[in-house]
Amino acid sequence: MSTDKISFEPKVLEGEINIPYKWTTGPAAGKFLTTLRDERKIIGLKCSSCGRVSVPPEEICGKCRKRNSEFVDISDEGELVSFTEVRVPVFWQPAEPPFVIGFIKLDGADTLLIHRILASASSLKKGLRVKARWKEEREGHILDIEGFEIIQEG
Amino acid sequence: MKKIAIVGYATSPFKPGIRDIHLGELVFNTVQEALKNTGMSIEDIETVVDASCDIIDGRSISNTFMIEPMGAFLKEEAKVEEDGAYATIYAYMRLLTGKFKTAMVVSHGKISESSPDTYSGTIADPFFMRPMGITALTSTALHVSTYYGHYGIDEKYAAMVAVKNLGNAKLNPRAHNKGDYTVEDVLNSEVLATPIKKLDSPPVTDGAAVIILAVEGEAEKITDTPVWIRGVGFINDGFYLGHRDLIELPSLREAARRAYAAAGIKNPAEEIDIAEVYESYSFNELMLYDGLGFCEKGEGWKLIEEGTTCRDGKLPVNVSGGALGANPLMARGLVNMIEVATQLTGKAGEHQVKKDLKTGLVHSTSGFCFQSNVVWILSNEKG
Repeated sequence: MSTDKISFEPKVLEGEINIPYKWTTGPAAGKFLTTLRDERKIIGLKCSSCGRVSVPPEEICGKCRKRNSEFVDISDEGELVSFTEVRVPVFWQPAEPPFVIGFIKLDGADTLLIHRILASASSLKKGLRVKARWKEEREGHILDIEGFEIIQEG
Repeated sequence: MKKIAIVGYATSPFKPGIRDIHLGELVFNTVQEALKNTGMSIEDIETVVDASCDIIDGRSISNTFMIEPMGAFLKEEAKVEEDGAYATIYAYMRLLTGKFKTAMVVSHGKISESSPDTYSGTIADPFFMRPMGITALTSTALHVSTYYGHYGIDEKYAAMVAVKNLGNAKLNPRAHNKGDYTVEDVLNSEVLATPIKKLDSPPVTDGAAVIILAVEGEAEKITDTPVWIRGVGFINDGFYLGHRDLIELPSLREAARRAYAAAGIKNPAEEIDIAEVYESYSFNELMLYDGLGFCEKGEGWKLIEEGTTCRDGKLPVNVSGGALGANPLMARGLVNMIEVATQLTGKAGEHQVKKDLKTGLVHSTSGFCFQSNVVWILSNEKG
């Protein structure tokens, strides 16, 4: 469509952008993460209006638009709701593929937590009971929990 | 309310990697093509809205270097960091103010210059989702596992969507990912993240799409075949996937409800003649049938099994081949709009649907797992 085409050798400039960040967590995510580190415990936030307990803590309830401030203790055990076995590399992956991530309904929470499931996909099914495997060295990060293991019955 | 129509459009070629021309030329060429198609000159365009993405372009405020190729030089221009079907909302609103008679929406992206995975991975938050490897692929896999698990839907129905869309793409010159496949081919293709397989997944696509809008009175002067906007709805859900209702699809349902209310549509499955939806992955299309009210909740699989949404069905969906046929990020929503406009005016050539068309639906989405949705209702009748 353009007129007077310029004749040139096709050239592609290669480069990358590497930007360091320091993300302030805010009170909800911050207390959740430091509690993982210091108390080896999962906490959630309860909405003062609708009573929904969210994990990870939802600082502002979307439905009620209330700023949540009531932290409640949540179990580190729960139920596997759904999962996927990731077989190709993805950005910021938690492990080399294949790895499994899933939605976990922790006892005491009304929402689902996304985390690693430390088991082969073939051994998994909806409704299995799972429990957190904690890291010994913790730094206040969601991966202070290495992942969730199936609770063996009996 | 003032009536507004699509009066012109153009797309660039869609390819897995456009290396011979740079982004500016891609946009310039597509804008020129849209103007030529409508017999307009750039002076006739009063305002411009750009849909592009900083991460894809590798520049902050990525419209700053696109002013000249878009033809927005010393005009009222703004950028939307969303798909083109969202940028169209702003162009539409500008025309509704009465200040402008014409507006152009320009959407573009050369995702092959970086990677789709980087783009979608940076949508995730740094505290909870990024460390889990959440991207478009993995979030969709979790969503599918949840929704399909809840309703007990077999993955073969998603494979049937892939077969349909890749087959539809064969007739569409705008699509580049196409072919004759069987359900078995899809089910046996490489697993990327269970249950999503290679043939369920969109290709890497570079490209641009442009539409021109005009107000009633002006639109009829520009073209004999304006396509009228009869309604729009757009809704946003919350962010963290585990906090959302991934089965009820509230954002999609409400966006559709508002678009139908604006257009006076009571029964979408009966009144909509054709739909182009942003499925991204084959599995999503069945959820879209549900959220858009084309079927009862959780029964999208019936529409593909009965052939309702096939090319010659009662409600053809993605006759273009959808995002499986070509997935130009930031431009796909406008491609959907252009496809429906082309079909409604009988200009789709070899892939024209062989039935009378009056009302079309255009859907686009943004964020993970249908967080945000926009639904447009278009018609070849002014109403």
